[in-house]
Amino acid sequence: MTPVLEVGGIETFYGQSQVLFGVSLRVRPGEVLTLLGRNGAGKTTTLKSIMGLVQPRSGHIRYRGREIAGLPPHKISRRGIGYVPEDRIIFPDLTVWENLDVARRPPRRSVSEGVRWTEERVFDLFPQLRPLALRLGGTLSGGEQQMLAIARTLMGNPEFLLLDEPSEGLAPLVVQMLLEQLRKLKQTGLTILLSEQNLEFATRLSDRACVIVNGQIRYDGSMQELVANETLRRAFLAV
Amino acid sequence: MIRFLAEYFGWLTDPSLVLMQLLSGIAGAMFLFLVASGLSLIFGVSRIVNFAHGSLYMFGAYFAYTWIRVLAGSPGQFWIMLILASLTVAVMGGVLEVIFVRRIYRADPIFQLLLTFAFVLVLSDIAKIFWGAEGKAVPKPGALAGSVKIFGAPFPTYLLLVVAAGLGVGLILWIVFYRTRWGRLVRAARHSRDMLAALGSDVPRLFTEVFMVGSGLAGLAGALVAPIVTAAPGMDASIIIEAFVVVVVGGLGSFLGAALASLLVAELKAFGTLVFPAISIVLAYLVMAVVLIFRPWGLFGRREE
Repeated sequence: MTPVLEVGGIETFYGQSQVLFGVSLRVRPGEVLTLLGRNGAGKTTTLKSIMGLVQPRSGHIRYRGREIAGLPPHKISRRGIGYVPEDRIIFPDLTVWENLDVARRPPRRSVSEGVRWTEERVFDLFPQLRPLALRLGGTLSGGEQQMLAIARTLMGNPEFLLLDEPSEGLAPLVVQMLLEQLRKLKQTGLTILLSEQNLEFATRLSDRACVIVNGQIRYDGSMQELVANETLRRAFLAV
Repeated sequence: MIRFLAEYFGWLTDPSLVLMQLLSGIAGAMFLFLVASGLSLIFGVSRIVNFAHGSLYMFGAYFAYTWIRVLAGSPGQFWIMLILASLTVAVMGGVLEVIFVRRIYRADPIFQLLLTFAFVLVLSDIAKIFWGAEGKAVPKPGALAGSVKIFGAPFPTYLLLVVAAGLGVGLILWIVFYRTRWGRLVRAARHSRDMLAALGSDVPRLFTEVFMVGSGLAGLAGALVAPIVTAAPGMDASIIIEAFVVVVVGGLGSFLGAALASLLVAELKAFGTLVFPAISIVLAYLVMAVVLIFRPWGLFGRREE
C-alpha cells in the first residue's frame, strides 16, 4: 500500500546540535503508527519536522505523494495534517469555544460532508468539554486541556493527525478515557502518527511501531512483535 | 502654609478652570490612547517594541496636510482626509513590516530595537525631504472651529470631536478584539504564533494585518492632532516617549491599561501645569518609575511566567 506520509532520511538540528540522524518512516492510510522512544530520543523533533515547525536540513517528507518539507506550518496544516503538541499549548485567555473557533478550517474537498467536524461533533466525542465551553482555556485541568488540544486540531478537519505524547502527565483514569476517545477517532478513518513513552497506551491503540533511539530509527515493525520480544524492549526502551 | 496653598492650588476655587483642564486632559488622553493602543497591539502580537510608532503618528499629521490640500473644496474633506491619512499610514506600516520587520521576529531584541530606531531616523529625514522643516498647518473643519460653552466656560468644539473619536475607536477596538474571529486570532497569536500556524492560520499575514491596524491607529491620531499642533519635525519623538510611559504604566499588551494610563498621564500633564508648571512633564515619569518598582508588568499587564 502506498504510504500517506513518507519521511525519508531527515536530519534536523537545533542550532549546532543535531537531533535527528536520518529518520525514515512510512505511515499507511488509516493506521496508527506509534513512535516510541525515551525522553530526548527525538520523537517531538520528528513530529515538529513533519509539521514544519523546525526545518530539517536534509531528507524528504512526502504527504500524499507531494513534498511538504520546507513549507510553512500553516500550509502543511492546510494540506490536511493536524498537530497536537506535547505541551498542548491551549490559548489561556481564550475560552474553550474560542480555542475551537480559531482552529476552524473548511474541510478539503476529499472530505465528505458527513465527517466534517463542528463544535457539536467535537463535544460529542469529548462530552467533558461541553459544559466548559465558556471557561477560559487557562483554567482547565491537564486532562481537559489535552482533550481540548485534540478537539481543537479536529476543528481543522485533518485527515492525518500528529499526536505528541497525549497520555503524558495524566491520571490513569483520564488516560483510560482518552484511549477510548482516540479509538473512536481511529474508527473514523483518521490516520495517526502517535509519539509515546507509555508502551501500554501505545499497544492498545496502534498496529505498528517505530522505535527511535538517539535520533535514529532502530526498530520498525509490528507492535505485537515488539511487545513480545523482551530483548528488543530492554535494548530500546528500558521497560 | 495658607500662602503656599493659595499660590499653588488657588485654581481649585475656579470650577470652570478645573473643568477645562479636566476636559483638555481627556482630549489629550485620546491621542495618547490611539498611539499607545497601536503600539501595544503590535507589541502584544509580534513582541517588537516599535520605536517608529511615533514616526507613523507624525506621518499621519503630514498626510493630513497633504490630503486636505488634495481634497480641497470637496464636501466632507476633513472626514475623508481622516480616513485617507489613517489608511496611508496603515499601508506604510504594512510595507515596513513586509520588507523589514518580518525578517527579524526571531532575532535578538537588540536587533529589533536597532531596526525600529533606524526607522525613526530615516523616516524623520524622509518627512523633512517631502514636507520641509517648517510646521504645516491643517485647518479645522469649519463646523468644529469654534467653541462651545460648558458650564459657562468656552471649550474648543474640536476637542469634543477628539474625545468622541477616541471613545468610538476604543469601542470598535474592543468589539473587534473580543467579538470577531480576527480578534480571537490576534489574541491567540499573542500566546503562541507557532501553535496558531500549526492550526492552519496564515500567521505571517496576520502579523502584517496587525502592523497595519496599529500603524493606522497612529496615523489617525496624527491626523486628528494636526489641526491643533501643526505637523512638524519632532512630533515623533515627543509622542513616542509619552506613549511608552503609557504602555509601561498600563501594561504592554493591555487595551484597558493603555486607556486608563493615557487618561492618567494626560490628566497629570493637564493639572501638573497648573500646580508645578516647571515639572509637570516629570510627574508622568515619576508615576512610571513607581509602577516599574512595584508592578514592573504594569497596572493591567500580565506578569510573565
